[in-house]
Amino acid sequence: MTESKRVEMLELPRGPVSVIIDTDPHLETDDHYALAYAICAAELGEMKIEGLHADFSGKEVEEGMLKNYDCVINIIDLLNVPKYKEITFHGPTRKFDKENPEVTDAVKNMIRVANNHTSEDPVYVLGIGGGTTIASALAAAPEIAEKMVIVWLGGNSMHWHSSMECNFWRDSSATEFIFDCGVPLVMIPAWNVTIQLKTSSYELDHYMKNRVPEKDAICEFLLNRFNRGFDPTKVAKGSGTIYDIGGIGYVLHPEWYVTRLMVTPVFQYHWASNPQRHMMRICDHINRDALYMDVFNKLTK
Amino acid sequence: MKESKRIEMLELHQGKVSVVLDTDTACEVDDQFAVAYAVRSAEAGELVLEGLHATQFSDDPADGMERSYQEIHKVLDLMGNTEYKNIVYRGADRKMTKGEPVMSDAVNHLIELAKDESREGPLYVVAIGSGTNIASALMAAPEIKEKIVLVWLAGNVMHWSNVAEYNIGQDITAAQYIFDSGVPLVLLPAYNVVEALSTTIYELEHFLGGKNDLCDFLVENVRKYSEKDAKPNEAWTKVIWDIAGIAYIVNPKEWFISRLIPTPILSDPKDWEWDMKWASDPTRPTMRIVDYVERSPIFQDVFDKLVK
Amino acid sequence: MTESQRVEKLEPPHGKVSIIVDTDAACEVDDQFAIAYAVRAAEAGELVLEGLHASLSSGEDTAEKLERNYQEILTVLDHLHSPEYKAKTFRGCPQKLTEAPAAMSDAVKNLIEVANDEAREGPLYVVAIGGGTNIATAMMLAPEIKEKIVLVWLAGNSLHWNSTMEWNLHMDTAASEYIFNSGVPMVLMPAWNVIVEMRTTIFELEHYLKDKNDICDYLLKIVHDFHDKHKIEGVVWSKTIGDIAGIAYVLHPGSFETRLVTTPVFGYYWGSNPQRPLMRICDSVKRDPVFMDLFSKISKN
Repeated sequence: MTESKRVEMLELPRGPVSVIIDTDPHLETDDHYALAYAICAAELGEMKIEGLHADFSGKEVEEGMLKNYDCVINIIDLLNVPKYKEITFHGPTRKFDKENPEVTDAVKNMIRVANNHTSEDPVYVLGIGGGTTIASALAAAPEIAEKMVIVWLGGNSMHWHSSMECNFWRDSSATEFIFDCGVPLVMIPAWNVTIQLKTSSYELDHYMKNRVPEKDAICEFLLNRFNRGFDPTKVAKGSGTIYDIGGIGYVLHPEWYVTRLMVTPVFQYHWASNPQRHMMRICDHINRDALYMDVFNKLTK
Repeated sequence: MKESKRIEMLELHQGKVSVVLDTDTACEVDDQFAVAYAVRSAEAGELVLEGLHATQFSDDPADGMERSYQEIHKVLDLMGNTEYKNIVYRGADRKMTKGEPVMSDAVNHLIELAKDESREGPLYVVAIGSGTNIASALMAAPEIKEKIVLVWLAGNVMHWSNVAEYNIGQDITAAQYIFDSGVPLVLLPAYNVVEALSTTIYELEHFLGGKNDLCDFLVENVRKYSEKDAKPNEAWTKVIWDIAGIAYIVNPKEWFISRLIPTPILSDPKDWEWDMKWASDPTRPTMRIVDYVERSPIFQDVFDKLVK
Repeated sequence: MTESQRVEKLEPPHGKVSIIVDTDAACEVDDQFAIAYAVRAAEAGELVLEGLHASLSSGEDTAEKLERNYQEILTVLDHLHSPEYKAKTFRGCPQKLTEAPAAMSDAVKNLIEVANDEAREGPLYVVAIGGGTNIATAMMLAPEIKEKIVLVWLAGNSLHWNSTMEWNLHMDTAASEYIFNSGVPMVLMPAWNVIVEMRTTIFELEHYLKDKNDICDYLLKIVHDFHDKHKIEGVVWSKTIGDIAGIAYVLHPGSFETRLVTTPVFGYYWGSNPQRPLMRICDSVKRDPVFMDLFSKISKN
C-alpha cells in the first residue's frame, strides 16, 4: 500500500459506515455500554454493523471467548434485536501465531466482509478488546489491509511511561503484528484520552432514569453493571470510566475527536520510534459531554 | 540559577510547605472550591497558607480583580474564617505590557514573602489564574526566582495544536515572561490532564448538598453556571480545574504523574487572538509537567474537607 | 542519587578534570588519535590521565581482540615516547557480559580504585570510546562508583534516528542495557548524525601532521593503510576520527552543543519512558576548533 493510499483511508469517516465490533465484555463494564450504543446507532441507520466478534479475556482463551460471546448475545436479547445474532461470531481459542493464524468464525467473517469493501469504502473494525482476531485475519488474508480501517482503543499516549494497557498487551504478538503490517490504524489511547470518559453513578442515574419502556431492560442492566461495588461515601466507588464508547463514537461523530497523523511507533513495552515507518492516526482528545449525551439519548429513547 | 538547583527545587516535596494562592476567584465557579480547599487544608495542618492574592481577568481587568478580591472574602465569610482575612491582597488592575511590571499590594506581598529568610524551603506559589501578578513580581525582583516554585494551572499538553487556554490568554505577555524567566515551574496543563477533575451537579449534590453554607454556595454556583454554559445536546460536566493546584501541594506523589522537560517557548498568537503555539528549544531550563491527575482521591479529599 | 545531584554532575566539566580512557584501540584508526590526544593533553597539564583501559572488540575470540587492543595502546605510547603511562595501561574484561557473568579485570580494578579515591575533587570522567563491558562490570561489582563517575560514551545514534544500531552500543548488549538502566550520570555522544561528522581527509592530515614527529608519522601511516584497504576508486574519501570527541568534551565542553534528555530505553529502537533519569546528549560538535587543538597538541615536539 502506498503512503498516500493509507493516508487517504485514514481520512475521517463520512456518513453511515460499515463496522465490525471486536469486543471483550465479560470482565468489563464499558464494552456493554459500547455494544448497546452501537446497536442503537445501527437501528437508527447511523451505521451498519456487519459483525460482532467475541475476543477472549482472562487466562483461559477459549473459555473467556465463549463468555464474551454470551455477553454479546445478552445485550442483543436485552435490546430485543435478534437479527444481530446472525452476525455474532466466536473468536479465538488460542493466542495469535503469525505463521499459523487461527481461522475462527470471526476471522472468516472479517475477511469476507472486508472483501466486500474497497479502499474508498472501507469497513471500520472497531476494536475495543485485544488484537487477536484482527491480526489473524490480516495474517491469513493480507489483501484485506487495503479494505479496512482499524479503530483500536488501547495503549497509552506517546509521552506515557509505557504502552502497558490491557487491550494491547493481552496478546502482544497480535498487537506487534498490527502495528507492523501497515493496515490503516486509528489509535485511541487509554491514558490520557479515553481515561477522560469519566462518569458517576449520579450522572448515569440522572440521564437513564427517564426512558422509553423498550429500553428498561438494557438500562437496568447497564446501571447495575456500573454500580457493582457502589459506596455512596466514596468518590471512587461511585465513579468510573466507560472507555469503550470512545471506539464507537469515532465513526458516528468524528468531529468530536481531536486527532492527527503521526509516524506509527514501534510497539513494545516502552514506545519506540523509527521515523522511517508508515503513518497512522492518533486521537488526542474526545468531546466527552457530546459523546455521553449521544449515548444517553440512544440508550433511553 | 544552576540547572541542578532548579531541579532540586522541582523535586516532589514532602511534608508541609508554605503556599500563596493567586486566584481570579470571580471568574467561573472553580476558584471558590480552590480557596476553600486551601483554607481547610491549612486548618488541617497540611500546608501553611501565607497569602490569598486576587488577580485580574476579563476585558475589564480592574473590575475582574476587584470582584475576585471580594469573592475571596465571601468564601472566607461563608466558612466563618476570620484568620485568613488579613492575608487577602489586591493584585494587578491591568494586563502587563512588555517590559513593565504591574505593581500591587499582592505583588509586594509576594516579594516580601519570597524573601523571608526564616522560611525553610521554597515558597510555593499556586497560580490558578492569569500570570500577571507572578510575572510582575519576577520582573520587579528577579532574585525571588531562587526562592519560589510556581505551580501554575495553564496551557495545554505539549502535543496540542495551540495554547489557547484561558489563564494564558488573560495575559499573554505575562505568560511569555514566566516561561522565559527560568523560575522553577510546575505546569498543570488543562486539556487531557487537569480535565480529569470533571464532575456533575448530580455528584456534587450527593456529596455536598445540604452540608453547610459553603457547600450550598458552591453547588448553587455550579448550578447557576450550568444554566448559561450547558448545551442541550451535551451531557454537561464541570471541570473543577483549580483544585488541582492545591491538591499538588497536599499530595504530589500519589495523586500526580509528572516529569521533567525543557521549558517550552510560548509563541506570539498566530492566526487568531489566542492562537499561541508551543515552540521547542531543548536546551532551555528544565520544568516539571504534570501528565496525569488521579481524580477520585482528589475529589474525596476535597469533599471530605469541604463538608466539615 | 537524586535527580538534582545527577544533573549537577552532568554540568559541563570545568577546569582540570581526571579521566580514564576506555578504548578498543586496535579496532580501527581513530582510537589511536584519541589516546595520543589524551596523553598530550595530560602532559600539557590540561587533564589528569588516570588510566588507559583496553576493552574487548567483537569477533570470534574476544580475549585475543582485547590483547590486540591492549598492545595497540602500548604501541601508541611508544610512538608518543611517553612510557610513564604504560603503568596506567590495563587489560579489561576478556568476555562480554552477554556471555559471562561480571568478572574482575585489571582495568575494572583500576576504575573502581580511582573512582573511589577520596582525594579527588569532583567526579572521575570515564571516556569510553569502545563497548561498555568494562564500565558495566565495574558498576556491577562496585555500585557505589555510580555516584563518583561521569560516563562520556561514544555510542548509539541520535534519538530521532531509525535505529540504535552502532558498533560500540551493540558490542555488548547486556553491558549497554545495564548502563542505560543504571542511572549513572552519562553524556552520550551519538554516532549518527553527530560524531560521524568529525571527518577529515588524507590531505588535511598530511598538511598538519606530515614530517612532524614519530606519533604523527604513525597516525598518518595507519590512516593511509586504512584508506588503501577501504577506498573506492572514483569516490571522494573522508575518514571520521570520532573518538577524539570524547577527549575534547572534557577539555573544551564549549565546543559541544548538548542538552538534558530523559534517558531512553536501550533496544534496537530507542524506547521512551519519560519517568527515567536525565542524561546529557550531544547534538553537535564544532569540528574545526577540536581538530585544530588535536593537531597542535600531537604535532608538537
